[in-house]
Amino acid sequence: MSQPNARHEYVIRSPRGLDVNFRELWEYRELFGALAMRAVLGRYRQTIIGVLWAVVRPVVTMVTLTIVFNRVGKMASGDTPYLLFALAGVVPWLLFSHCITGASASLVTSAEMIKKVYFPRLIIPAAACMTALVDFLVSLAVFAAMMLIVAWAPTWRLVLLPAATLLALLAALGPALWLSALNARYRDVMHLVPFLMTIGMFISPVGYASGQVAGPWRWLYSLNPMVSVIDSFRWVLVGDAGGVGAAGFGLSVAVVAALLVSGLAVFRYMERTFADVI
Amino acid sequence: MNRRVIEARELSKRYRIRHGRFRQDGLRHVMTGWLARPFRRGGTTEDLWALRDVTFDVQAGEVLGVIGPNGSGKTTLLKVLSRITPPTSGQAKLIGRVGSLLEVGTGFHPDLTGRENIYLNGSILGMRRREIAALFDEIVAFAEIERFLDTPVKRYSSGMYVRLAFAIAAHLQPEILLIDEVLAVGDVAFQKKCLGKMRDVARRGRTVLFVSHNMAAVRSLCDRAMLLEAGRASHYDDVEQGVRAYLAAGAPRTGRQWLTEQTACPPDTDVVRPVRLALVDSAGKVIGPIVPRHERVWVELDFELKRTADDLTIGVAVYDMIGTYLFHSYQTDGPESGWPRLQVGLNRLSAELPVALLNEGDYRVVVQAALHKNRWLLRADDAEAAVSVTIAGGRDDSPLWEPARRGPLAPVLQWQRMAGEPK
Repeated sequence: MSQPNARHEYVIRSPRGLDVNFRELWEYRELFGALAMRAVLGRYRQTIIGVLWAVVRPVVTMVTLTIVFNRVGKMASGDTPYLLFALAGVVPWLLFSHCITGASASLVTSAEMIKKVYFPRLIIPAAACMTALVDFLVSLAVFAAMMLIVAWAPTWRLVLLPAATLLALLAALGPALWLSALNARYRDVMHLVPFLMTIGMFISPVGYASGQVAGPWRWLYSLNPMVSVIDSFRWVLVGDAGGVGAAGFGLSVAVVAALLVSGLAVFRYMERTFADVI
Repeated sequence: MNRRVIEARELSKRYRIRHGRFRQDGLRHVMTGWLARPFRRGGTTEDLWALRDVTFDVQAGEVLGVIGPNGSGKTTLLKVLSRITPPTSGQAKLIGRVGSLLEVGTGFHPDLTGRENIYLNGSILGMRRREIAALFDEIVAFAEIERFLDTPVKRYSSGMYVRLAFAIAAHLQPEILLIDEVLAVGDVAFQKKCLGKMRDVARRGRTVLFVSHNMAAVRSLCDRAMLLEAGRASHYDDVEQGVRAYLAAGAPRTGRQWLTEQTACPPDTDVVRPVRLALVDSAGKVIGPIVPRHERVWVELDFELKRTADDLTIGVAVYDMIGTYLFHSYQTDGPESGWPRLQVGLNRLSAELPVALLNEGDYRVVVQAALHKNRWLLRADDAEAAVSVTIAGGRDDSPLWEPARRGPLAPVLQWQRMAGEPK
């Protein structure tokens, strides 16, 4: 729609392309920080259990999974104690799930700003993911505590944790962009999200190892972007625990990339009418 | 400075309005829409052009006033220039940092403190953190909230909220400033402060596009005016002319002359029957829709008196634009010796309207008649025989500008200094 140059000159015309102006995003980094800060502070200010909540959620999910999958379903986790195995899946899953839930409603929540001020709209769903990132860091601390309790020693692979985190963020960003853009136009999309997340948790290897999915289903299964993410986290945090194999991993990563690229395109396309439909 | 900082060429913006019973704002509606396609009846789309081929240039340091009735496209123009919504066709070039103020308080978070919101809001409006830090004290002083900096904004009174929001926005320092009607908030003292600040900004050489309904502010601040009507722009190098054109366009439908034969249901009573009511100038000619305050206007009332009535009081009542009854006057006001003698048959009464006493605005003059202490004949509230006029312009010669005065009256009192010391 418009391109600024170093001398601050803007040409405004009817939009054509779907390209992402990365330089502009960089220029607006302070606003991104301010919005992320606002989201995080707003969440933790005035709620005594604000921080506690970030601890309670992963723990409760892990315990539930343990009861359902391990005790009742008798799912195996190889050499790893099931508690850690499950938690290693829960941590990235919650990051993904919170990102998407937060992002899908983010544009509508920020409707007033979108109608009144210019800034690259991509910042909004991205900033919404930041609260999920903060919760993620807290849950990593919980994981560290669990490791101590179970007396489980981490391996050198821990060094790749940032890379796995990056993959998780990219996997969340694609669907986040899709859903936030769609929700701006079709308000009921936001209500689909909890439902999608519930299903997602079962078709992702959160409570069981992805390697358990055998035969012809394995290819279909690997189309799930979270397969690669959770397998990475398992590999980094608790050692190789029966992942889906290199080919499946590659397919899953390819889906992450496809969702991200298509998400950016859809977002940029629908962005043109945000201020008018929101 | 003859640089053009804003160049707009045939900017147009179209909105599509759907008519018909088919909602489209949910995914479920879209899906059921596909299924229902063979059965769908009716449903049309209408094109609404909020902006049509709007072309203009603004030089560096100019203040352009954008005026027009509601729905004429003013806010849409600002939104397009602020990149909030894209134009359907046409283009605009802006050279320089752009700050837009379409509403105050954008992005304030209720749980964060005043201090935190200053940084947040300033950031949203496009200021860098170090700029905000440098201007922090000035912003706080302008908003007068030193004591409440660390209180969450949700505890602020609405006045404090608005002052803070405006203070932040007022300290934006872009080269081009787009302002939309934000001066309509706050009390009178605050409005004065805001306008003073805006004048300051304009004087320092910034280019300003100012959308407003406050004609006094527009007259005072703007170098040129652009009138938008139904999306189309007309330009006025003389702001006063632009303001007049705007007011004329919005003038009330009733004219300056009312004739009984033109009325569907002519008012009539057993004692009097009004025939004509008109507002005329000193030559007896019916005046135009807008009269400046220094001109003299007479009311002429023609009526038929059907029988002698010593207790007849007949005259006019005057209402302001929001329907407030301001005053009435009858031919029997004043000492009895001065009362005009009425005869059975047609009479024409004339009286001068105190235009110089009234403030700017639209007024309605309505025939009113009664039998004194007996009964009403024609009540002005029924508004059967009425004319309207807009009083605008021609205000006093004082170089001191101020926004439109409060109250329906705006007489110019003659102030003098009395000799000697007051005791």
